[in-house]
Amino acid sequence: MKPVADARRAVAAARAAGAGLADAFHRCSHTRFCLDGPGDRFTEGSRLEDGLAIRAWLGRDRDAAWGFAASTDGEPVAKLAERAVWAARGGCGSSGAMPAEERPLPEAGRLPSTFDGELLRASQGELRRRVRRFRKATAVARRQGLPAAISIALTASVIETTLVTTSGTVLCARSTLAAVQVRFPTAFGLCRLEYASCRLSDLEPAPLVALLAAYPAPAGGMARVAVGDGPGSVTGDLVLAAPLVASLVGGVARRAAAAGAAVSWDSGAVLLDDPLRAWAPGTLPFDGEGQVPHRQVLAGPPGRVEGTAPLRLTPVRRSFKAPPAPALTNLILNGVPGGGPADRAHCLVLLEVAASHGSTVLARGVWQRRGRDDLPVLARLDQPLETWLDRQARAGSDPGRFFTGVAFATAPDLILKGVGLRPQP
Amino acid sequence: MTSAPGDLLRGTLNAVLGRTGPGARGEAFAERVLRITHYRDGKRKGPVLTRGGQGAALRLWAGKRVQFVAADGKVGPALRACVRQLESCTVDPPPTRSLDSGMPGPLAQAAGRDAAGTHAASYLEGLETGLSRRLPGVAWSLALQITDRSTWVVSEDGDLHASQWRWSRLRVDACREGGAEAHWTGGAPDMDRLCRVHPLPVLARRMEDQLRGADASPSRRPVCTASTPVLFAAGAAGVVLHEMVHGLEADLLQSGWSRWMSDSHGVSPLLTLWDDPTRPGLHGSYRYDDEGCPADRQLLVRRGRIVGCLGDRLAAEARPDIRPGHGRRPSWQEPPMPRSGNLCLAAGDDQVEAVRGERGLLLVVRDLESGATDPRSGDLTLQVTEGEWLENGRFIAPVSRMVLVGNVVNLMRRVDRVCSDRAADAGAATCSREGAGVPIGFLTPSLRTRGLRVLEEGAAPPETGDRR
Repeated sequence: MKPVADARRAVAAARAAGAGLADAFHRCSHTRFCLDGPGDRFTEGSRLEDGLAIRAWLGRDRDAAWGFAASTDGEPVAKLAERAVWAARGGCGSSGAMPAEERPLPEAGRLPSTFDGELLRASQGELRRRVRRFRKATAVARRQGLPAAISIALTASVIETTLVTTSGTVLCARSTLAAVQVRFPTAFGLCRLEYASCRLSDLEPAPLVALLAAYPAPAGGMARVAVGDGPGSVTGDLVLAAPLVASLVGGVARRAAAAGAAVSWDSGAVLLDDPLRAWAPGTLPFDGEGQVPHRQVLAGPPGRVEGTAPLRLTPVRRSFKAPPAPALTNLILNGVPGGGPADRAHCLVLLEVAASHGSTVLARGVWQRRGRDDLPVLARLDQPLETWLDRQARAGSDPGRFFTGVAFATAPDLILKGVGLRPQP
Repeated sequence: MTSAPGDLLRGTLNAVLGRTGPGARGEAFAERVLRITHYRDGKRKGPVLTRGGQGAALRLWAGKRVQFVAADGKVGPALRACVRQLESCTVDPPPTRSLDSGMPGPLAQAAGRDAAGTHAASYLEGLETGLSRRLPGVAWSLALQITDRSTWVVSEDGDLHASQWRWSRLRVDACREGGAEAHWTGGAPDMDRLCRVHPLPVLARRMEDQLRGADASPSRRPVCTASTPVLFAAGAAGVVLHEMVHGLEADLLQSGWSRWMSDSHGVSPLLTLWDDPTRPGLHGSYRYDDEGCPADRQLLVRRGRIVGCLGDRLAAEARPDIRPGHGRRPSWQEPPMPRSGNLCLAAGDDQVEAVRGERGLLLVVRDLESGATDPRSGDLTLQVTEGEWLENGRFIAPVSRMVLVGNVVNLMRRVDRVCSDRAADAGAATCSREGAGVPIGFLTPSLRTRGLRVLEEGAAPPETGDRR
């Protein structure tokens, strides 16, 4: 297999050029896309990405320095290796992370499934038909008030990665990734829903309709509301929609990663970073350093997070163009107890994050009021997600889909009963 | 500049257009890029990352059907891979890397650039020493990225347009004991100009101001409300104007997704705004866009009235009153879209010192980390990194790491002062649309407006959007 041979030659060339340790990463991907845009413009095509990257270390321990070189242009691997070593010389004195010489290899039988034969075999015509099915499904949402100017983009990628190191590790993986992105104008502006999976069949249009139908059509203004008790507040139910919760758990995860320790909350819900979940879009058979990635609890009740090892995010290479960097893979919020539906006669449904800073979030949503039209709102939440989870949040429908944001994240709708809602001037 | 890429692009484009049928149009594009990034962290040289690549793309269209294919590699093999993709509707297994020649690769020479590398490393070392001397007790992290990009475009008329673009971009991060942080990014066409345009004393002063702002307690500062006047400094004002101009991109206007479609009232009559990629020395300068059209100086707003938009070839075909010249792509792997180049605002009559000295509260924004806007609603988020509060012209508190939210339409209508102090931005701004960034520049005077309110102050994680 040529990528393995190239990577092996690259590692050998780096050693010959003076590197003590080296690894070579080859990534090749074929991405096809169909975009059914507004104004009946249909764009389709594909792109091939193919490149090799070499990391080379000089010296050892505190005196170690590393350099990185990546290229797509098929320059001789020996030259690329020389460039990596040249870069390492330029970086002498750095204490870059050294690769572990003893690497546990993933066992073939335990690798999570990430390769979808159906996606590989799907013709361009099949992708086109799938986009048309999405278009047809969104017509249902249109009848409920959404305008016709919707764009639907579908991408399907086949990815091959190879990692070879000086310590003799040779790892190869093949995976697929499918994603759908829908953009549509609403009362808030131009909104976007995007989710992904390793399996093409997971991108069914039907569940999208329920999500789209929750958005208010572009008419009228937007009211402001603050969530939380205070003077002039009225009590109602608060629903945090799954895409919004997926975005909020991203914030919790980043906070935990920055602190190096899991966040403790009183709710029974658990937030996991799971790079080994079968068919999830962020799943990795091996990490960017060639080791088996592991699940980590990023937030949970005291019993689950106390005594856990310090957090260390998975080193990930999403492209050959950059060295591995700690990153979130698949964020999963589970363990939220199920509950009855919200009181739709008096309920604030928050759909997406408009802006965030620290623990303050501006979210867009709809205020459903008995006997009156639904009111598009811009709501301010001044407390972090755990505050809402601590208030015995109940899970509504679980989408089972990974939304694309800071990381791939899946979460249920959260329903909170009896929350103070304060209209703002 | 070798002519081989031009011949390859022309030959391939003619062949695929011939097969597509009458009325088909398109372009063939090739790119070669090399980025070398030097890091320095905690008084030590950091790693050096070198990243290079080449690739080619074909875009064809007939009526409302557009096909786009792209492939990595030297021009010859990449174009052949593009043609294979056009011909095949099924997925082939990804091909292995091709080592056959098509165009001489520049990356092979990169290993011989020790002299440039040494220059960069010694520059960073000198910079860190100077900053440490002026601001003791601060941990510095520096990154210098040197980008060298060459592009070739051939459209159906057969003309070859070759361009070359070089830029040096410096990022400085500072962290003081106690957690106060400061960030600054700037750039210039080459390292000599980088040193000249952003000299050490100026850099040190800006970092010191930011650190002082981060140290100050937010509770002592006034709160920015919708009626508070906000003065954006010369150069920095470009970020706000750029967010407005997103709504003037031709594809957004044609799709009905722009706020300015339904807005016939225009903006403040003090504003005359144009985009000028032909202006040399700015971050968004180019001679030919990524569709092979000559760079176009496009008037967008004349005395408050919207008179133009940023167009590309597809938009110009649909509407003859739209001129192409702003079709830009972040790399060969993305199709071009209408984007801004260098945004320029005509200078006004007001003196900036007089505006700063006016009675009442004034929030002065000197630098912004990023801005993001929704083109349809005009809702805007700005991440301020550096600024100050003035009252009756007197300094009362520094500002650092503040998020402001507002509506860009409201903001542009409420501009009541445009000063005479036109200046370029720091030279590192990037316009991100759908996740892909292209370099942009600003040449703007200070301007004052109202309608922004503070979302939160203090340290915040980086957000997405147009970045500085």
